[in-house]
Amino acid sequence: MAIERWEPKILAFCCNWCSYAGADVAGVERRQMPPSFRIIRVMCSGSVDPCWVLEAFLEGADGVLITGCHPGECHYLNTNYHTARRYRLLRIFIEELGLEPDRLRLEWISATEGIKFAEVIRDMTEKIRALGPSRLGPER
Amino acid sequence: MEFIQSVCPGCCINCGLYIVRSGEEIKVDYRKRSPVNEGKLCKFGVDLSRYYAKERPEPTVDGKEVDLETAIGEAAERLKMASSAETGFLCMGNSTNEEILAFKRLAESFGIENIDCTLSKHIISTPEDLKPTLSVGVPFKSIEEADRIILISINPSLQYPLLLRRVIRAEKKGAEVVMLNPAESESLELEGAVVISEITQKTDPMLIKMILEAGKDARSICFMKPHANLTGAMLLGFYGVDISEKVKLGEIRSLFLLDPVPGDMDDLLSDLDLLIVQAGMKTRVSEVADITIPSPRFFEREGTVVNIEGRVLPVGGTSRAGVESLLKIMGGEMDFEDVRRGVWEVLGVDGANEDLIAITQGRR
Amino acid sequence: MGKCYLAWAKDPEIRQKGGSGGFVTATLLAALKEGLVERVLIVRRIDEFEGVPLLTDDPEEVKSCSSAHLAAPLNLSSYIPPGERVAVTVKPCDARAIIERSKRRQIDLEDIYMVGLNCGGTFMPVRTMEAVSDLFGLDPGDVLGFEVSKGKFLVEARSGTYTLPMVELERMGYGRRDPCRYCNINIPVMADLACGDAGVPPGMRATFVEILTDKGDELFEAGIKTSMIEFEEAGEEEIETRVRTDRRMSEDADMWWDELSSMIDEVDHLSYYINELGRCIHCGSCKIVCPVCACKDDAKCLDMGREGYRISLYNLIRLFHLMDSCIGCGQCEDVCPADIPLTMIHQRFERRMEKELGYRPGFEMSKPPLQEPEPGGKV
Ligand code: SF4
Ligand code: SF4
Ligand code: SF4
Repeated sequence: MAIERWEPKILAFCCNWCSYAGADVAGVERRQMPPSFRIIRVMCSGSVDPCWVLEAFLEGADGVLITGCHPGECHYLNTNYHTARRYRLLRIFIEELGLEPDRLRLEWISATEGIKFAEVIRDMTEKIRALGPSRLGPER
Repeated sequence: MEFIQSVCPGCCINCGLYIVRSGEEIKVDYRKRSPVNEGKLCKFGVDLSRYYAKERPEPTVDGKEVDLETAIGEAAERLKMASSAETGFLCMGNSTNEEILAFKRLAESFGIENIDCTLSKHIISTPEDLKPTLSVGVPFKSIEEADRIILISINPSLQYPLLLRRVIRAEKKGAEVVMLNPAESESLELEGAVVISEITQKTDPMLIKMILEAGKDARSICFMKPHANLTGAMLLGFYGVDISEKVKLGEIRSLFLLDPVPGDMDDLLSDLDLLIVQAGMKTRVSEVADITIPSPRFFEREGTVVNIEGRVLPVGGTSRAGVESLLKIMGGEMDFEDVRRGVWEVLGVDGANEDLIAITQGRR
Repeated sequence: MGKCYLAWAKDPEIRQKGGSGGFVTATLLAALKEGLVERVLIVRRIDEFEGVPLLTDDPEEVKSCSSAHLAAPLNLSSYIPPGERVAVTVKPCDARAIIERSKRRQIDLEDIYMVGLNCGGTFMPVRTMEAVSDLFGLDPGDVLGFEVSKGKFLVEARSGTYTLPMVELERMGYGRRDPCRYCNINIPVMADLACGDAGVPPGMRATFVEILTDKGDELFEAGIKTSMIEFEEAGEEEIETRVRTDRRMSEDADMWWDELSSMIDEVDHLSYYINELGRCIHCGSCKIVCPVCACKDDAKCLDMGREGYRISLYNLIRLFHLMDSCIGCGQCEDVCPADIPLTMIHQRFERRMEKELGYRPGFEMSKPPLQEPEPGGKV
């Protein structure tokens, strides 16, 4: 009997205007991507309330990815700069809390960067696989 | 912004707090000076302003609004007509010592022996020398200093968070804390331990008996109580018969309720010949009463309570109306000061002092 | 540094009765008289161990509070009536709370005159009563007053004066509340005036006053104009002494921080936080008393999330939201029925933010970092 490999659960918040489309491209082009992540489409990376990130970890996510438009390309002026600030503090926050900061990741991915999207997901999956399950998730 | 020093009416701990009054608005503030709780409150205390904002009853007779004097006069008349053997006085421990004693004197003046604080059946079946153990608990500081704490049929994290913190402090200092369910344990080993349990109307008297017997060599036993001044009511001797039982059997036809909370015999109340309610708050019970006598809200009352530690605490208000209504029904020979002196005498203290554990179980 | 004076109340009675020469009382009276403010918000003494806020325009009431001790662990910022001009006596944490509250439009800084009081820490009443009875065998009812002076805890009682070095007292678990031990701000530099003992020559009944803002100037001027105060300029040496005292006190605070907070570093963080916060009974008190939290009944943290989370959403959201604004006032920890060291925990996160961004809440009116964009969107 094959030993089942533990698959990390990753939740991705993807901006509607860029990376959600990027994810789509990645899917259409049938690039190899691990099955371990779920995408939530948001209207802007800046609309990702930090509370959602925390809730995701509490609900059992092993990693959370936020993707948005490259600096200067935000659909809503500079809202992604706010994302960057929150991300910066969220990383320190989860580190102080005792989670590995690499469980949280922010990437700027445009609509055409399907390849990059797939790569980010793969890379993140590998990193989190190495970290093991998050200890903030519900007791198993 | 007037800071009224008060105590929480939520349970027998009687946490200290401030009622802050600005005009009509009432807020709760934290009174860190209180030796009982150092300012900390549970959710009930935190939300107390909402509790106090509940509707107040009007004086009524047979469902019609009347003035207070009329309601009081009518109560006196009808009590006179009722047969004393079939009349009961029930105080649920939500009143001040002064009100409870006045209530007791009122019962006596009508020759009524059916008095109850909801725990009569537990008290009656307890030997005289153990009655103090049943009524007054232990200083919370002594819980912190215990080596062994046994919790029997009580979950303080749900019911008594302000007790729980003392238990946790003891645990941090190295105390052993055990939770026991007597239904599952053969015998109770309580030697040298601080034993904490709870007594409510629903508690099986056998359990109380068991704990008291097994606990003869315990360091102390503390029975928590769900209502603010059940300790005071017990110490003032407000017990005799199990009134709710008698109501159910139809042996009591007239009932006087002091500060009632909704309970298991509510459905039977409308069948009584006479129901008198004195309360500071409108409830389902006050709604079906033949006579309603409003009293001040708890924090507005002048008077005292005895908390579970044995401290005699001032409630903080200035209104004597609750006591005075009861005295008027009695005929007005006693006044508030008489009652107050009576309370000191029965409790064996010379005044209220929150810093003093005035009443103890008399154990080691 | 602003202009520095040694000042005192001209009225001999106020000078005698008030702490440090009655300057603060005299200034408050002058501010009322001159119409700078409608009312003053001060601390009314209940007994030696406890005080409550008092909002008044009655000079007699102000006078009667003149010797009110600072030791009450109150945060007055929460009692400021909006839309009214008031003068408030503030410790550093009151002043910082006022600034954060005005950023959140709870109050208008323009309306508020902050009479700053240097602060060496506050005391929990019950613990202090225990200290006087455990250590000196005193009945708390016989205590006439207590203070900290030159590193010593001094108790004035009917039976005499009792003293113990603060270090000893605090090693035994008495003394100032924990958040005050590691609060390293003693001079309220963000207020309009800073008043204190440090730098006052021994034996002189006066206050060392630093004028920090234009409003501070107005207050001082009001005192002069109404002939309520007298003053002389502070000399080099006095200024030096004050600086030294301040430095020593904040070093002492940092030492306490290292000591108390290192306990968290010695254990697994996540287990520590899960364990401590696991005792929370969600009474909501920590939010109610938090002077910098401006959220009402629709606050995000009040949506607790599901049962069974390792840490409740309430606690986690509050920790994150306060990361850029907790001023370490200690109010939450004071009232927590689960004895969770909340201020320590909030400060752990806040101080990390400080280190990352170089921003300290409660010093000036710049926006909280969580409301600001990251320049250039750098990740
Ligand atoms: S937190 Fe700081 S400023 Fe506030 S009372 Fe304590 S020592 Fe004083
Ligand atoms: S979180 Fe606690 S210590 Fe920080 S500002 Fe709020 S009440 Fe004060
Ligand atoms: S005060 Fe303590 S128990 Fe109450 S909600 Fe806050 S953390 Fe929880």
